[in-house]
Amino acid sequence: MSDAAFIERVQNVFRQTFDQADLVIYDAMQAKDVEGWDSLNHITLIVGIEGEFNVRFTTREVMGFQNVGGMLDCLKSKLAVQ
Amino acid sequence: VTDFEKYSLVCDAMEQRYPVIAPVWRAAFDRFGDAWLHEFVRNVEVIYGTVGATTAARLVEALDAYAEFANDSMRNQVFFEKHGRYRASSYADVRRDCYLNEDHMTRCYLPGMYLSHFLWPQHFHMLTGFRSTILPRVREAKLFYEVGVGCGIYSKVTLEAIPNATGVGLDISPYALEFTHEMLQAFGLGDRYKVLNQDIRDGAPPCDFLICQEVLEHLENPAEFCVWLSNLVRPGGHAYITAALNAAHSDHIYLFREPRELEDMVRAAGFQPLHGQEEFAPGRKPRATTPSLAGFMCERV
Repeated sequence: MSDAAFIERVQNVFRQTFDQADLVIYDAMQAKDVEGWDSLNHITLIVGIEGEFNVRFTTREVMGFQNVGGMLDCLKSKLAVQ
Repeated sequence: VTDFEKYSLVCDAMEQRYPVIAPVWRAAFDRFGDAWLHEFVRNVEVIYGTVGATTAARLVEALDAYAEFANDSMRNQVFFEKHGRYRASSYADVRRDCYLNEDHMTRCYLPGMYLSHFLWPQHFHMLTGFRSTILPRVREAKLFYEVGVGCGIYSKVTLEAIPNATGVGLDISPYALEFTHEMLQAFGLGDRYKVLNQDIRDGAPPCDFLICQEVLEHLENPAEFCVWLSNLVRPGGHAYITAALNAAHSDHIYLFREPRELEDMVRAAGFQPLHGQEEFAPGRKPRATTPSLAGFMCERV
């Protein structure tokens, strides 16, 4: 899977979660940058990504993401060992 | 070091480890105010040690447990919102996987639940209402039971408010009983309280006041359980019975949607509801997907 395809799949999960069809993700993006990104929607997002990529994040990972870049790096590392 | 500085240090530790859920901790002072601040710091320090510049290992473990508890709760809430039902359906499974699972109870459930009573608005406001509205009505009680003690916080505030009362805490989880026993000992209240790992169907001498707080949603047949509860209270005695509504967790089975369902259930079991309270989790979602807590002060008919 190319980087562009990977980002697009993640971005689609973001768009569905936050109901924003034109949402564009970037590495430095944080919860404060997206309307409606509270802790429960964060879990909705995580569950969506887990379903899309068939992975499972630990609590430390789920609650510890500083930004989208950190989330993408963690996801890539999980996909690499699959 | 002031209480606010200690609170800020705890928030900093949470922010460092779990930035996603730290805002709930940071919001608590603005939500609940000065009286809450003193109570929060005291309840943290008595159980987890003095708060200082270096976070004690016990407190770090408690923060980890809270994160596990919150993660578990929110993952199940997402499932509930999607499917309109709770994930768990078997009491036997929940008993095995949760209440009799030492790792889950001691590293997630009990510390997480304890801290949530000072952080989640629905938990803290219900506890405050219990102290200000319910306990003054039962100050003559000599013997009280708490059925399903969990982390023991309701027994603690009852013992604090009624100095002449003795209490008995019943639970099917030995870990909940141990947590409650140690917590009450730490607060100097243990000499008026004992814990029992006992099935309530075995019976017990009737008490003056019974607490059953957030237990019914954990059962397959809460209506039957309410009848067993009524058998534990003397006629004319009182009970405080609550349930979580539209609030998923890995061990929630029975879905209460409206306070009226709980009110009808306790009435059918032989209680006369005298006073009700409902408190909601923050958010702007419809009632059907907003967790809340409903409770009724009842008289045993």
